[in-house]
Amino acid sequence: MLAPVEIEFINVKKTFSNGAKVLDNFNLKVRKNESLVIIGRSGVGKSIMLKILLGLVRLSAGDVMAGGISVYDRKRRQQYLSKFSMMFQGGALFDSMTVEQNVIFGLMNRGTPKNEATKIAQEKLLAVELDKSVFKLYPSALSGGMQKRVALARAIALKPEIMLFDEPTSGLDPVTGATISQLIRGMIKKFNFSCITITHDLSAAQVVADRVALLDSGKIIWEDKVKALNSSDNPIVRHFMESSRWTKGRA
Amino acid sequence: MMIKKNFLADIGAKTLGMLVESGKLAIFVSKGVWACFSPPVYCGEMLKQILHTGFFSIPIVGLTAVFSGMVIALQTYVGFAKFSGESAVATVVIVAITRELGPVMAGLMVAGRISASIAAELGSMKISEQIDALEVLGVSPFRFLVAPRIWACLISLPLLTVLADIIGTFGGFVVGTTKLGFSSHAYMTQTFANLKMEDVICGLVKSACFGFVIAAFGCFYGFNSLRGAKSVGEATTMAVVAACMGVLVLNYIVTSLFFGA
Repeated sequence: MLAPVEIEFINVKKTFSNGAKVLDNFNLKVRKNESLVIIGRSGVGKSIMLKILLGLVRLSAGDVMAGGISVYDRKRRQQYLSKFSMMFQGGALFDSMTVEQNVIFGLMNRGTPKNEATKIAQEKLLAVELDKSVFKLYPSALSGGMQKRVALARAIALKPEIMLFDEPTSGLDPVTGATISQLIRGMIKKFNFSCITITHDLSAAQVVADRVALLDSGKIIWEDKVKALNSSDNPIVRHFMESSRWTKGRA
Repeated sequence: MMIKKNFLADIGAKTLGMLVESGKLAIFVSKGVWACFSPPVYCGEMLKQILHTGFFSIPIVGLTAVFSGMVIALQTYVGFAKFSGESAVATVVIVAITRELGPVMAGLMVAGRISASIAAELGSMKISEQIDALEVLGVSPFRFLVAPRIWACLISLPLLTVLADIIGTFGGFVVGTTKLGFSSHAYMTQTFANLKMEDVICGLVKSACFGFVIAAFGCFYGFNSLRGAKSVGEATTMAVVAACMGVLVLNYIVTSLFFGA
């Protein structure tokens, strides 16, 4: 039996004030505890799609539902947002806070007492394989890979029902990228959240995804189980796969 | 004919752009004001901002005030000597400092220092998605970022103005007694005789208004930065220019409300 739908985009349209159409009758369903990876060329609106889901960018038409609540429902905005956590492309760590404070801050804002928040923060930072010596450092003192780990710890500390990952391996070397992908897969298994990941990195997609969808021209033009990526006859998917193999070969 | 048409179209586009920008600013400011009076209050963040805005502005405001007081004393002496009015130096210094120079100099210095700093900091937070991250964590960026900065400027500017008044008067006193030959007793007596509570209050009201526009413009341009370092630079410049203009325009408005015929 299929799991219930957790996230649903219904005929979503997004056009910017300069006339650029990013999403056009975009429809997508993500089921409970499913890990969906969205791939697509740069500039097709993958990150905008996540921001629309969070209500950070207004949609031009259509609706987005998460856990039965509409993104338009301003009265239940906090309840809607409390379902989510997001790991941003650049980490989006707060510069003025230490690594530990970055994790504690989100927890305390959701009502966790300081002592408990500190304990949870330290647990999660250790879970993403960060050493205790970095807890009191500021994000500017960390490498890109370490910043992504802190961002992951901050996101999972909130025990979300839905996790969003925006390019989790971008800007990292292949080894660190693979480690982050494995960490994400481990977290998905451990915490059982529904999850949408956006990436260009097909090797990361193959580690993280249960299902893969391809976004192009404002719509999902192909979606299937992750295993079907290799055998797909969709020309854009094939092009993606070939480019990925070519890049790996060159490396 | 074509040139005329393009010229008119340009004026129209600019006017519409200004109206849109004014509308955005009005909405932003009303959200900021609402955030100032609605919980939660981030006291730690507010104290940090008061320290940054108020305490660390003391040297620059103090230096500006002391030299302004000294210059006013010198200029008044030279000018008033032409009709034997030198004795009015202390009066002019205290009135000029408390009514105008104290609040305006403090306002302009803080406008340059703080609106730039706010716009650059918030602009960087915007482009590195930290403001989005706050929203996802369920924290209102207006309550966490805008309200503490507005409160900090509202509290710090009047305090800095009081300081500028004291230091500026002291500057005038130093020049008056060491260079212009006034006795310290006579100078101080004249100063206190002409120190009016109305002038001081007018200066404090002005400085609170300046604090509000400095924080509002800094936050507005920071929040509206687009992607890239260039955009943050432009936002910073716009914030400083708008805050300085705001200070000067408000100075006239508040002065005319207090002293206008």
